[in-house]
Amino acid sequence: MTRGGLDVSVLVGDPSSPRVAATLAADAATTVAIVGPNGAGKSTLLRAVAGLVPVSAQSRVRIDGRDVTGRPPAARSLGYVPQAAALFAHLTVRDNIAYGPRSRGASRHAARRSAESWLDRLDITALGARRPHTLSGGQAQRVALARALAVDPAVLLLDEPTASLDVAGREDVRRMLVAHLSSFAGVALVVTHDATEALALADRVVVVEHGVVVQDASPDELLRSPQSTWTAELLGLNAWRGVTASEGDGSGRVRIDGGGTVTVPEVPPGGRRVLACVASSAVTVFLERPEGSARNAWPMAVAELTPVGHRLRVALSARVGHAGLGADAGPPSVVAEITRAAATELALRPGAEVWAAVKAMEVSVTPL
Amino acid sequence: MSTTAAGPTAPRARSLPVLFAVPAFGALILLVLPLLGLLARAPWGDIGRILADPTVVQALRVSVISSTGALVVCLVCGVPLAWFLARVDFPGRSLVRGFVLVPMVLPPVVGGVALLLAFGPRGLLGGPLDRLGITLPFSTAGTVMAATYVALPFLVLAVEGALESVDRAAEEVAETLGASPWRVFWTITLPSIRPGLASGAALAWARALGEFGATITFAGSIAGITQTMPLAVYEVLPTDPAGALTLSLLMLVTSTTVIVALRSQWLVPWRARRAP
Repeated sequence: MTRGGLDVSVLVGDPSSPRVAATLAADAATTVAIVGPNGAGKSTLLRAVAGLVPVSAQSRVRIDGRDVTGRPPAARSLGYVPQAAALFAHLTVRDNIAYGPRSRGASRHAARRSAESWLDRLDITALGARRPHTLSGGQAQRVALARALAVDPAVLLLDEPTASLDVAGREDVRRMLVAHLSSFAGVALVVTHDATEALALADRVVVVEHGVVVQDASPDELLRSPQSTWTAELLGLNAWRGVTASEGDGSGRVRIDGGGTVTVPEVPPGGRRVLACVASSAVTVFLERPEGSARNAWPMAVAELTPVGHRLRVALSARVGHAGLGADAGPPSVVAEITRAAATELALRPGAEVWAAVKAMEVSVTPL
Repeated sequence: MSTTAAGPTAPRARSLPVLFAVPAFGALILLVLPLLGLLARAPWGDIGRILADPTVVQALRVSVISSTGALVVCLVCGVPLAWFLARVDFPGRSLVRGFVLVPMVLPPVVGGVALLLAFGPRGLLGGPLDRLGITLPFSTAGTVMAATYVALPFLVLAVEGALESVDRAAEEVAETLGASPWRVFWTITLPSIRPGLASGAALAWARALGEFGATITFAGSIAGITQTMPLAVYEVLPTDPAGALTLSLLMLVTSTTVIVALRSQWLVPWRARRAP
């Protein structure tokens, strides 16, 4: 099915000091993460798209090519997953999922059949007859997603889908979201305050601060040059997408999409897509090839130096044509965070040739 | 009481229950002893004969009509009123909330007088109604009205509280899924406020069943027409104590049964229930 995407320009609250004044556009089949500090207006932006909060007269919301400004939520072709799932407590899981199709005029039988197929697709067939209060947080999020997808929405709105979950549930739901959002034909907007989640899920990341979009970029761009201190501090990490390749000695390597490899402590069996993350403060910078225990040592060149508080962000790019690169080649770009004193000592300046080192233990691997 | 040494905070923690036990027991006596008296003095042997007495049968009929009628009016008018109070920020909302509470604190007899002044033959609305051929005072409809007047606050308060504490996110999801506001109300809101609605309805019905002052003032005590069970008890007590006792017992059993049944079946929220 072809989709027309999303085109939003909304102002919520008092026009002189609006809660949200944001513009956002996305093509069909894209996942956009909305990140930002608490109280930045992320959820309000989502609710404005849904038609759940009043917007100013000059606001516009276009979904799937239609102007739906002023239309009720029901007429917007939405799937909405609020925080903490908000399942219908008095209905079984199956009836929760069937609620949407039923509300849109499907017969009882057809709605049930559609619910069954969504139970199946989200791997929760066994939960069909259960009541919401008997579900774990992760299961509830699956049901909430199935309920939203069952109306075949043009826009899927997810508000902090993993915020209320424990670590195991978060991993599980994140993996499920990666799988289902990548095959979703419409636009998915995911509000999150979790950097890894945003980078793992999204094709694009929109940073909202004080109700305004301060950056709208691809995950790579965002990592390379965050436009606000908040983003830089929140991110403070490197994230590379790649494919695993087992080493045999318990550790493994991830082949980065843009070239180069990263040695990681342990990986899922070979050939799996993963996101490898390392905090930028865990990257050390040397002038010569380091002799220590760091499993990753890459020849890089300094691309950019930016002060962040008392520290310095050093953006590094892979050195091309380095003799005997082979196994040493690192990711195309790496961000290191070092003290100003260290930078002075190393006499870092753009263009300088350096080595970046990362212990394998410092790299975390998130399956995609 | 044992004086075994425990932690340093234990003595104070223990003395509180003792301090509370005496007044608590007093309250319990006040609640239970009248019931025991009723049960002890009930003319058990004659119950069958008394229950067949025409006065009793008529009073029972009038009571069933007026209390059920009052409950229906409370539900039909009270739930929407509670909805407005809980969900719509209209001017004068706190004033309306005050009006809802008045019948709770007003002596019922005064309520009856006020009803007469509004709906009586020379009342504000009673005059025009009278000319249309509708007479409320001293009719069975009048007993429904009097009972509704005193019972309504119980329902409105319970439902308003339930509506305020309900999770709005589920309603919003239902809206985005394509449900009309009407459908959202019936399929999501109403089931979520069910415990509050049920307890409000039970209290309102019990209050309507026991209504005395407003009814006797506004509707009188005409056997078979406006004489409800409480009025019949009051009326037959001097001449036929056994009959009065039997009627009282009947009301006691009915109210207790309803409250107990509601507690076990309806007052428990969904999440607290066990899985089927």
